[in-house]
Amino acid sequence: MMFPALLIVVLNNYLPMFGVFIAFKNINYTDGIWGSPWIGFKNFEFLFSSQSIWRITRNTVLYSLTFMVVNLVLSVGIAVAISELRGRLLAKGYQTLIIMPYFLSMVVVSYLVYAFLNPDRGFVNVLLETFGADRVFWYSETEYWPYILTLVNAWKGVGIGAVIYIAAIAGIDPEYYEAAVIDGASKWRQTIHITLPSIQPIIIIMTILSMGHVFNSDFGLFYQVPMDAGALYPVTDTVDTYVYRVLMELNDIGMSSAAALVQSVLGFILVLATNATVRKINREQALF
Amino acid sequence: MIKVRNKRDNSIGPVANAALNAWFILLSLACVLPILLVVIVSVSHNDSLLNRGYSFFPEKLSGIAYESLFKDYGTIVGAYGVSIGITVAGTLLSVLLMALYAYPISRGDYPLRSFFTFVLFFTMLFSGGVVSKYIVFTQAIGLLDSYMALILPLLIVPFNVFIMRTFFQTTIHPALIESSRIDGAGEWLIFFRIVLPLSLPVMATMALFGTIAYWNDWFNSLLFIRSEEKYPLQFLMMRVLNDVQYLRNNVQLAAQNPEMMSQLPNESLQMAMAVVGIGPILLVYPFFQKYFVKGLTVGAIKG
Amino acid sequence: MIRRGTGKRSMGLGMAGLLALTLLLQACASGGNSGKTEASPTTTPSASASESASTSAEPSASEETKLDPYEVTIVYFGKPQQDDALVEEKLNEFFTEKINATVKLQPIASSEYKNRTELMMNAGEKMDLVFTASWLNYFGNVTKGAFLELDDLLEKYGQGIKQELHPLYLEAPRMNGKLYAVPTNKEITQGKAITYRKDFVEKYNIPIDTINSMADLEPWFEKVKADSPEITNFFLAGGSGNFTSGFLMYEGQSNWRPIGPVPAKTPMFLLDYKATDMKVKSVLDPEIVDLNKKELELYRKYYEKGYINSDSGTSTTAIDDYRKQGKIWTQTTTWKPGSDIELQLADNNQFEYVSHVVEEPIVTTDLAAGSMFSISRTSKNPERAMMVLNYLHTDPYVINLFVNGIEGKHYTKVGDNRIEPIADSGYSPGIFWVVGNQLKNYLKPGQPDDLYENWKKFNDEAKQFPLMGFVFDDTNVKNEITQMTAVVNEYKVIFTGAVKNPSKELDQRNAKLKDAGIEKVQAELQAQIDAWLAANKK
Repeated sequence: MMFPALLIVVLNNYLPMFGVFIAFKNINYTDGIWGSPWIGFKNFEFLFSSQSIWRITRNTVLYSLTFMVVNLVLSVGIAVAISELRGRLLAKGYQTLIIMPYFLSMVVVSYLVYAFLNPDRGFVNVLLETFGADRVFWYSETEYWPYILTLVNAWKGVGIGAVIYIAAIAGIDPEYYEAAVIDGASKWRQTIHITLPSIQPIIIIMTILSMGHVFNSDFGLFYQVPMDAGALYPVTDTVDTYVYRVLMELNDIGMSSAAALVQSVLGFILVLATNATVRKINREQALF
Repeated sequence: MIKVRNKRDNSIGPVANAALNAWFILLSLACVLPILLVVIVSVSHNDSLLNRGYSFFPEKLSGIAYESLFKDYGTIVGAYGVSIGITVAGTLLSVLLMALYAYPISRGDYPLRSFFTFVLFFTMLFSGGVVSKYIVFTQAIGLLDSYMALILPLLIVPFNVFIMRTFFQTTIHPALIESSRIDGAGEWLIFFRIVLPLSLPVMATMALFGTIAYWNDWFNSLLFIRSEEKYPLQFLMMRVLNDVQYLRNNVQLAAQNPEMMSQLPNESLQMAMAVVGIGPILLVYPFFQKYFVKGLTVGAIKG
Repeated sequence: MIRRGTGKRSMGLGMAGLLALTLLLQACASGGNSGKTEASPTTTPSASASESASTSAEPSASEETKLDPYEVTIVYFGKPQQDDALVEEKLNEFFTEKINATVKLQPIASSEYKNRTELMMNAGEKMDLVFTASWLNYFGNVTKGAFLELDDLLEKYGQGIKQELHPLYLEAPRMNGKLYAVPTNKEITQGKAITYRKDFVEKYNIPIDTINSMADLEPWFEKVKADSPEITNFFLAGGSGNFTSGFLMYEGQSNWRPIGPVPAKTPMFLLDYKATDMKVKSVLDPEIVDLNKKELELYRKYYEKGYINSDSGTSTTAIDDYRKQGKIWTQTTTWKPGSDIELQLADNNQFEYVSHVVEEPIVTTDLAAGSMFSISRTSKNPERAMMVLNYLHTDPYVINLFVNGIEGKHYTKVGDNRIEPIADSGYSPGIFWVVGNQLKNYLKPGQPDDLYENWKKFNDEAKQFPLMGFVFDDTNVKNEITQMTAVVNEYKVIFTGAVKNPSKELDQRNAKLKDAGIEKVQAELQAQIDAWLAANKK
């Protein structure tokens, strides 16, 4: 039964896996990938000896964790709320509307944000000035950006993120609710004791899987939206943007592979650790 | 807190309902207004954009962005056809194959479930990179310039498989499977007759994700397609966009050919692209929505 | 349900099985792959040896030759066109008759070109003629072995090329003395200039020939701002990827010119190009720091006075958009004969322009290697490829066929050497600067009759950068360069005038550059330059 899918996974993912070695080689075209010389960990040096390593790691990890929590709470909240709304037509309407931001590319989003935060004509500054406040040079002040980025990320992602939970809630056997109503449980109690526990397995799985990407970041969000403004780097530079910027002119495929490998390995370790923890608490809900 | 009116009516009270509705209206506005702005910018004249920036009420309108996008009328129609074909075929195949993988690993009595879960999970984090994938696809399997090269990479998405697995685990009660076994049903029958129909919400969700993924994918076209008539829509639009970005960011190229710089299209073009890209998805979405309805699984256990 | 033991054991077995299967399949794939890539270079010399022995060495002689048919793949920088197949057919007619060859056109759109060609090189795909340039990592690719050595081939089959090209052109693409690419014939370099709207020059009587720096423009900025406040005097787009810190920072005021690595498009090392000692200075050197600070404070002053647009720090708008609207009256440009007319045409003939060249045109490696064709090491018949290239440099028929299309269908001939392109004809790839010999292209509307004579003169008079032909090898200092790139990126915005206290920021930046290892890179650069000079004593 699993064979076709398994075959595809092997072809698509495992066969090309030899590319992982590129991180340890100095590739030249004459020798090709197989024949090029091994250079150990040399490709990794630029990352670890970087002046910015603490900053970019801290940024990446903190943002990833924050986004995970914020988006989870909001997505689940929206899913529960939508499932409870009385007008089903309205509910469907809202659902369609709130997933729309997901389909915009980060480039377009960065333009929209710029329309808001442009020092001269941005909506926000115009509003501030109407109320007599000073205008803010958004693209040079770092303090606002963690909030701005979290907001943009949530705006873009919670609509579509809620879909999974809405589907999950739709699959809950209505009999549970009927039984609860008979017992006189309020809506709130029903949510806490039936709805949430029923989608708990999904939440757990999503969390474990997201752990694998804690050391990665949404490149578009951290590069395009802040308009690549140098003054903002202390709070917007992540591993991905850093690697992209510094390797753009060097064209070294080995070094970029090395950086990606580091992110993957660290994420992998995190997933194993999270999974093991979940296993201890509730074996059924662990990933493996 | 909320008093339930009568035994049958388990809905939330009118106050709560009103409050929730208000929140959702705000949220929806926050999501829709920017999209509206995108649409308006896509038909704004460039001069108006330069002088007054983005506005819901532009000075001048201009259809030039859509003109440049659809100039090659024949190519665009063809590209639409390619995109639709790939999306439909890919999504159907993808959902079926993923379900076939997710189901066995969701069964508690399958000895190799941990192993196969791990095998799939490993590919989420570790990958050989673009170059090796390219070599495997074009030289080992021989898929250069073929539609299969656009369908294959997106067929199995580990994340989706795990979600499916979790759904199967939580919504399909083991007792159901046991009783069917006792009745003499084979594994395949159980899968198609019992499991799938009960999993409509998750299947619809995965079909939605699959549709979005296939429709928006342009990267695989970049890698593998060489014939102009095989390019899907998103790729053609991306190319227009990337060419513009590339020219804007490349000093030496600009120095070589200054005339090119003066013919660059602009922001309204990007917005037009976004509109053309989103449109079809939104048309299709309501179709999936009807599967997210509660009560589809009523009577499963009893029946 | 499941006992843990069985799970673990079958997991182990299963893992082993899967791994074995994967390795087996990979071995098959790689065996085939490496077999292919190794086969090509070894078969080519033997095949070509027999061929060249039996064919005449004169590529332009259209006599009956015993050449085997061969398809020359041409990979080039250009947007795929509707009528590519038609043009290819006609090209095949030509080449089959002359050298029994056919061509396969593989245009690749600009934004994908670099990635796709590098992918093809990594995968060892068969290619013959490949477009490359200094800004497409040409030198890096040479080091990695992507291209074939061309000196012999050029001697045997490229005599036409040698006749047409300015000799300096063949010096630039050399690496360790060997030639790996043939530049396209056009203007060999560009000068830096300040371009003005003619009507402004006349209104204010501006002596443009005496203005050689941004500082000189100050009195005029003041006048224009007073009369027409809605006009931007000095437009900077700090958010654009094209933003180079300080366009006329060194030219026009000093003899310092950039050399060596340019992280984030900002020169880090400079050389006095008129001196004889060839000693490299870095941006940490006090003399350079003073120059930088002076210019930075000037930009800041301009910003505060409103001569620079207030969104200079983040703007991504192309200056051309504003200029078309008449909101810009002066800008810094790269210049070659005919630039002013090009600008006028680009703005739909609304305004006329005049320029004053601030920096005399110098032929640098980068500029002279800005558009070239190489022969890939995966080519199975490099001789034929070189023959085709030779035609593309010498024969006006085939050049114009490739660049402009088919007469009557894509353009109409209005003079001996002049054409008018047909709008929306299905073939207008804009590759006049990419292929072969631009000096043999038919003239287009707006281009003056003596354009090519002027270019020849321009090329002949251009001075040679003393280190032309020198290429920096960054292998030993890659890490330092990445650090420097990070620092430069962060401080790029101070060159837009939008930041207060730019001098203080510059000091901060330079301190960080020092920590990043700029001195190590400088030493490496100097050592390589000294070695190159010793080996190339002219």
